Amino acid sequence: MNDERIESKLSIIKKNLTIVWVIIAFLSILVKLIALQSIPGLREAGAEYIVLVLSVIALIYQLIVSLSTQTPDERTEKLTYRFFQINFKLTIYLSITLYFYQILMNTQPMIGRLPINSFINLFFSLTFLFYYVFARKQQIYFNYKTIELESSEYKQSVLKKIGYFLLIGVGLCMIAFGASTFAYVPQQGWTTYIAIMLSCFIIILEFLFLAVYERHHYTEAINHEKGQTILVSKNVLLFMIVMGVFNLFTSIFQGHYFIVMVNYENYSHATRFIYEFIELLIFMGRIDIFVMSLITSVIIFRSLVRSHPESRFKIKQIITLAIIFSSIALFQPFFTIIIQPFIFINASATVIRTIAYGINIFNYVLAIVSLLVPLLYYSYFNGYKYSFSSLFLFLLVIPLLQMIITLMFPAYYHQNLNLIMTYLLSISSFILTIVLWYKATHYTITKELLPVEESA
Amino acid sequence: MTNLKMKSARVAKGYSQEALAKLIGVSRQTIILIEQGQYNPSLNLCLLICHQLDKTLNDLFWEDLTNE
Repeated sequence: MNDERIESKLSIIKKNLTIVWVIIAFLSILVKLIALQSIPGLREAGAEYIVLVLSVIALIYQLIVSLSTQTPDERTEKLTYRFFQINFKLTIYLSITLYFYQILMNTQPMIGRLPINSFINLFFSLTFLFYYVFARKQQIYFNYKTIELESSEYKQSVLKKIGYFLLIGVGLCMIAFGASTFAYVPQQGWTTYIAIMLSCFIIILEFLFLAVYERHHYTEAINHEKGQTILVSKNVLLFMIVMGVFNLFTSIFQGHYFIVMVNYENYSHATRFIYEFIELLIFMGRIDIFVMSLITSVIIFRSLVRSHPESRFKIKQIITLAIIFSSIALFQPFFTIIIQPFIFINASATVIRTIAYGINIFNYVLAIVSLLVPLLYYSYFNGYKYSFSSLFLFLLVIPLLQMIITLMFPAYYHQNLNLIMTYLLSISSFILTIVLWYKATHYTITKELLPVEESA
Repeated sequence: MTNLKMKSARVAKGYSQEALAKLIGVSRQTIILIEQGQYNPSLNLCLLICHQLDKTLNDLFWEDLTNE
């Protein structure tokens, strides 16, 4: 497809993206400069330098074009489009090549205190994110070439691209292995291959997520034009799966983490370090999940308002309460961290006991209050007689059971029982949430009485 | 300004926006935006649309500004 509208919009998207690239590359070089205490060379920041140079060239070109042409015409637009197309491809491929060079020349997985693949991961994550945002602003899909294909063809094209990414990852690993075997480069350890494949998987996951998200968006837009509307966007299900997997992993991991920390003398220093490291990663991941839950809340809000505009105020109240509860739940571990230094300074037993008692009470109050969220959802959906609304009550039973078990069998004394219960309850909660939102996202209402409107 | 002339010509031909887009080789959204008056197509694209809908440029794209 050679769509002139898409071509002209792509130039705008790529121009904007170039500015983002300059900022990312500059900041990354700055961070490495501070971490290394010297100017990073090609081995340390080769990918950043190439991104910075090519992006600056693109911006200068744009400046020259805008200064030399009085009014932009179709011919100059075509030239700009071609220039940005080539520049975009060059930046992507050369940044991967330079990143590969960095990997080959560094035997250590860290540069300063930063993982070697931190820039490339950030670069691709932000490129996906900003490309999508800019593209939607210009009314283009990220996968504009394939989005209008039949479902099976679209899936095939997504799988092909994933295969292509995997091929690049595996290919780079094989070249690295070959080069180090024949001593062209320093000996590579497992960390090199892990770093390459980790970057590869992150890119694949982000691409897959975006591909599924866009397809849902496109299909729902078409259905809306045909006079059909879905109660809640299918993208809610997508976000719920990601958040559900994170919560499932977190709760199961924390069950184990508790056992390791309580019986720390039975575990080696290395094991304890791995557990603490994963705990730290989860802690950081909570912020991403919180952002995702905010986006999900907005999607739910917009979908529900579209289906039931008359209950706009009620939906707003429910969603706001859900956001408040999830924010408190998110920041609850942060409270403990803030309080920690205070505990160490005032190390008297009475103070520590009072603080611990306070945190305990706070946790119980939080747990009880958070039970309100499924109750609110239940009352709302039940009001419209949706068949799946009763599932929210089942969702309510799980944390209740968890609370009863914790009260009856304290975790410290019944470690194995608690761990088994954590497994069972977390998995059932995950399955129930997915089934619930699956049903909600497949509830289609035909707007028979409304005229069929075609919209962008 | 909505291009009702193009929309009615398309409907009269029995084409959906998707079908017309496929015939011309552009995206469905481009057709939507032209019909909604949110995108100004080039002369080339206008001609392609006219050929597919068996209409002239005057029929679909001429706007008599004196009547506005």
